[in-house]
Amino acid sequence: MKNRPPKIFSWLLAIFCPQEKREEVEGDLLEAFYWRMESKSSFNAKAFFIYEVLRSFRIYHFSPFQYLNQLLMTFNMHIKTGWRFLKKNMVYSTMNIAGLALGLSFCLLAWLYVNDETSYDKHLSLHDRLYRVVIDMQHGDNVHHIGGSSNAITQTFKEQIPEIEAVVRLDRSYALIKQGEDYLEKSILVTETQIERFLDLQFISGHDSFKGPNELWISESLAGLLAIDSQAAVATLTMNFGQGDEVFIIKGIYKDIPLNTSVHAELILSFDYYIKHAKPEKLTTWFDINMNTLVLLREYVNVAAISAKMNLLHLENDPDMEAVVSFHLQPITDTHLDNDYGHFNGMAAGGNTELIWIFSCVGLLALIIAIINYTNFNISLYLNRSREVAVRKIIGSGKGGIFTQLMSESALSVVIAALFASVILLIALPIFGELVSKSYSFSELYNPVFISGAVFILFLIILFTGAYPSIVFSKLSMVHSLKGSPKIGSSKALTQSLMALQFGITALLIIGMIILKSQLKHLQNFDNKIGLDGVLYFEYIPNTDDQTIERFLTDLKAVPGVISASAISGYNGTRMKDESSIIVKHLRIEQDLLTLLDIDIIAGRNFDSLLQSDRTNKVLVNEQFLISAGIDDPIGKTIAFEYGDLKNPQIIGVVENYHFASAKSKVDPLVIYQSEQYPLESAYVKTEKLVNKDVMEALWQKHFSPYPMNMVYLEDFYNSSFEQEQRLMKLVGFGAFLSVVLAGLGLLGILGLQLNQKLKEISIRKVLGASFIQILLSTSQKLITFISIGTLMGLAGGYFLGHQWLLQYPYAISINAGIVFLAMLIVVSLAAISLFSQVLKTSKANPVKYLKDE
Amino acid sequence: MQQLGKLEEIVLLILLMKEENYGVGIAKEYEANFNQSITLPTIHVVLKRLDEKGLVKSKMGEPTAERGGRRKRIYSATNNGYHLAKELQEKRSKIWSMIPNIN
Repeated sequence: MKNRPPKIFSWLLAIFCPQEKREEVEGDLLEAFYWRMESKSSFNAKAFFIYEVLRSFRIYHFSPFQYLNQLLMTFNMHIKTGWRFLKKNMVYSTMNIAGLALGLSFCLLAWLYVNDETSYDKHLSLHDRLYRVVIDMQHGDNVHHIGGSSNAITQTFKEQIPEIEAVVRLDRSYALIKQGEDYLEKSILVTETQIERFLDLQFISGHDSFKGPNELWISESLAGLLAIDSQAAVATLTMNFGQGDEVFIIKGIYKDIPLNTSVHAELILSFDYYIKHAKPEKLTTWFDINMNTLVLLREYVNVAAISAKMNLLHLENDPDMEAVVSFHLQPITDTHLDNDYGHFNGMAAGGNTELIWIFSCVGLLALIIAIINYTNFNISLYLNRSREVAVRKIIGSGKGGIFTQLMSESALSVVIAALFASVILLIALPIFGELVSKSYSFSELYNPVFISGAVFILFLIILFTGAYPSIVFSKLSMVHSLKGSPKIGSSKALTQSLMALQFGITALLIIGMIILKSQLKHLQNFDNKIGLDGVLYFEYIPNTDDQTIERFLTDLKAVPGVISASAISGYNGTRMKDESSIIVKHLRIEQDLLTLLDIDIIAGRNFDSLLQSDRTNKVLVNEQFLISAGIDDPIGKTIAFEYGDLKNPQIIGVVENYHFASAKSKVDPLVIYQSEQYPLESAYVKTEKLVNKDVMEALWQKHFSPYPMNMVYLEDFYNSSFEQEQRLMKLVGFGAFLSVVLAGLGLLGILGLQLNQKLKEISIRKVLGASFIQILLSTSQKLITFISIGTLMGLAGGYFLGHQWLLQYPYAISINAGIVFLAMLIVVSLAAISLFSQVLKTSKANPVKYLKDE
Repeated sequence: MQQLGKLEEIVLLILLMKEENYGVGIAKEYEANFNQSITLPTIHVVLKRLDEKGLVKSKMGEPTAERGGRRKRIYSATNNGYHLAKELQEKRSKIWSMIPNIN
């Protein structure tokens, strides 16, 4: 045996002994230990030492230990009674906790979304020095926001602005990756060495800078998907950019970039490839915006001064530019949520500020409702325990004791609700991800910011749900409680106001949902003036020439069931050359398009395939064009429209204002021509019966292999532009459903509570001959008034918000009395069902039972 | 007159035996006289109470090797302590003297 005191106990003593006592106690115990070891035995000394250390805890008021001990015992007691209580009221507690769990899980989902959306790019180690070059271009009163720059701009900035430490050019491209016999379509980030520094890329294998055009880096997961051996000396990848197969050398495999990064890529291709394939003037023209530029600034530089330098360089290099142009640097952390500058050329699709706001609001509302509900419900449940509380008080429990007891019970319920909520969260996460078009994985939940936020929310809930009942009950009058007629008078006004708030929120969400739904229906049924029936749409035909498309159309027309087929270019915008200088959309079409889409000519004539001049110098315009340009008698007039070889064409006809996009935007002035200024890129096919998709697929493969076919029904294509609205509707609809359920539950609870206090009064009224309606009015008049006020306020709020939201649509419904009435009807019937059921229950009871008492 | 517990009185008496004493010294003296062991925390508490009653005073002494280089707190009885103890003993012997001799 070693002759030293047990280490662990010396350590314990050192930790728990107060500083001013420590030297004396440690010294005495140590000395006594050696003394006993000499005078008695080593064992005796050790046993005494341990005993003395332990005794010291109790005797010296070593604060944490004694306090903790007491606290734990009390807490344990509270939890035990709380648990028994929950078990006793199984049905009500389950309902109550389930409601809280629902509200909580919705709130957590909202928090997850908001946290994710606002976390973009903040994880990059250089994020405070990374900026994107953006341009504001002013034409008259219109400001165009351009998120991009050109090769020449980038080079000049890099060379002539010393505050810029490094630049990276970004472009996005699509290619087909060959995998065996199949092709896989992938989006590719075209950029240069340095990007690994900007994005903190970590390479798991290889890592060579790009030296030639046909070199790339690949992400770990894509490498796994393509079964690329990371140990191989030279790995290659065959890709097709539309000019036949090309072989690329893989120079490195990097760990997947986190999803909340604006510059996201599975494949990174050398920028030399872009330079090699671009036309020379594209690289040297100053204002040919076709890429994004990220710049890394040196530390501690003035960003505004750099913008000024950039603008000076612009004036130097492009002095003839008519428009007023100003360059800015946008912090990379702002790019994700800024939709003004767009997300093109290598920037991942942006976030949605509107959705973030709506999410935060609905999440918060759901939480508030759940808390109110829980609180109200709990009070009515706790009322059964007023005797217990009174007995506790008589035995000597103070207000503080009752308060801590109810608080810890509320904490217990909230923790149980949180467990339920996390189960709901796990189930709902994939569905939710689909709804907001994000792929959330469970690992997202381990994010420290998310977890600390969630814990904060939990604490808030415990505080709010616990505080109110605790205060009410710690003030409870003992005599009344013991007599069995607890009065919770002081809290009534507050309870009723909470109830009113809850119904207000419910009414707001319901009217919001109805407005959303009506508007969506209105847009979907909107007369686009296009015949959508049986029309198939090939959205995008890859880089090819007009002849191939003509042959494709000819083949299509030969398929049985096909009535006609036609093609168009994309819609482009140009400024008129006269003093009006309005921007008009223009479009190249093939002969049959207008008949195929059933677009009416309201004046003049359609293109005539027999007239050669129709193919060169004649145009159709839409009605909006006539209005915008102020032309009264259009047929035969020449207009100051210029694009490519098409100059000052003559109007031969006017088409109706058909919507080439969804009815979410107004119809722009439009010029339609047949002149070959733009390549054809989309095709329409009109069918009279269902055409086998395989036939279409075979034809497509014949002409455009290896590109995958992208054929949709035109009707679906139009409807797909309402995704945003549909998403919003689901969200608000879920919130409304939740609040209806919770408000109903809450009303049941609170009414039950109030009626239980008035059993005697109701019985006397009944004995004296009161009818059901009279009892209802006499008992719940105040509650009904409060609920009505709350509902009206909610409806007004919903009306106002709905009106604001509708302002963004040129073709909006008006919020009429019908909508308001419908919302009111839903809320009122919800309230009525809860009210009637409770009052009916009480008024059905035998009055003798309650009058006999005492 | 101040009340003193039995253990308090004994510790006070032990302190009065010498000019000054400290925790372990008191424990040794106690065990030697009563042939019964006592734990140090008990003595510490008693000393603290005596200190609060103003019967003893304390100061820090010199560090010694057997205490691992730690200083000891040295206690000595105050005048009040002396007088109180004396008074107690006188009263006791007065009472004792009134007890008839049994043998």
